[in-house]
Amino acid sequence: MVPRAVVTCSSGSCISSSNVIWAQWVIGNSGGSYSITTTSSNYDTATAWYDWNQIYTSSCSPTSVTITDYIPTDYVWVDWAGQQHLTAEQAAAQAAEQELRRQEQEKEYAKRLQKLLKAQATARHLLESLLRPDQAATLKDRNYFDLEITSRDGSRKRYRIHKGRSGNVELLGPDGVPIRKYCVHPHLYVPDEDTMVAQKLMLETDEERFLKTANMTELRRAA
Amino acid sequence: MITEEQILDTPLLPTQGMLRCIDENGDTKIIWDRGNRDEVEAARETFNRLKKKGYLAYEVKGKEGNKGDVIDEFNPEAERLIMAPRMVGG
Repeated sequence: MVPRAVVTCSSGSCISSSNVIWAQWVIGNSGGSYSITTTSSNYDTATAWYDWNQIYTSSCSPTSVTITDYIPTDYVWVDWAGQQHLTAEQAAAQAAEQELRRQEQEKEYAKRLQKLLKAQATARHLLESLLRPDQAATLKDRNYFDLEITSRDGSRKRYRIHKGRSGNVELLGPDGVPIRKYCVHPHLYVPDEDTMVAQKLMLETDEERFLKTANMTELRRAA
Repeated sequence: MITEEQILDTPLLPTQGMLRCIDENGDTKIIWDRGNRDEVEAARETFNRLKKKGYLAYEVKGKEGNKGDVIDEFNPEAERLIMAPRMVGG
């Protein structure tokens, strides 16, 4: 926001030049008093700046600054100061260059997005290829699938793998309610579905190692 | 636009095997023909390189929920191998 500096008229030594008003306002805004002198009463900073800009633009070309109450005045000033020494050709070249840069950034963004979407779709396909139809159905409908594991001690366990990367694996109790939560994932950043593939394969083939690697959170005691 | 061809598995011939390496790109596929020594060696080389990086290797048979087996050595006779990056606690 533009700091509001209420300007009061001081009789006898009124200053009518907007650039002087501006200069004084800047000085005041830098830590001194916000009070400056002008020929008008009820003359606020925004009006002073507007007037000053109008006068200045009439003698300097090209200059054009749009002022809103939402842009701090010093930002406007920096922009204006950066532009005031450009010729029309230089300003046009600068604008063209900025437009080119914007287009390049958009292209780069679209390329990255495309790569990300492809990676996600490929990972999803790999995961689905490893699931039974009932697992694929819950993945589709509820974003998780369950795994039944026979532990080394012969006990049966049921794990639930939610879509996600960390803290997304749960050990279910006999009543189907989660007892513990585990956090373990590939050290590389990969799509969530690939993380789920890695978690599934590790749990199915080496549950002990999975449990040793994962950080565990106790949710409740098994009934 | 992601086309189906970009996502779906390349249909394998009975003489081919596939290694899928999970990575930032979704996964990278390496296909070898068991009768082609160069292809087998290239796949083996990739397998060994990834193992050295700490990747976990699984041999997966069939589809639809069949669990994999952990393997430490490249098996050229495998139908499908999946290699997952080293796992860490979160």
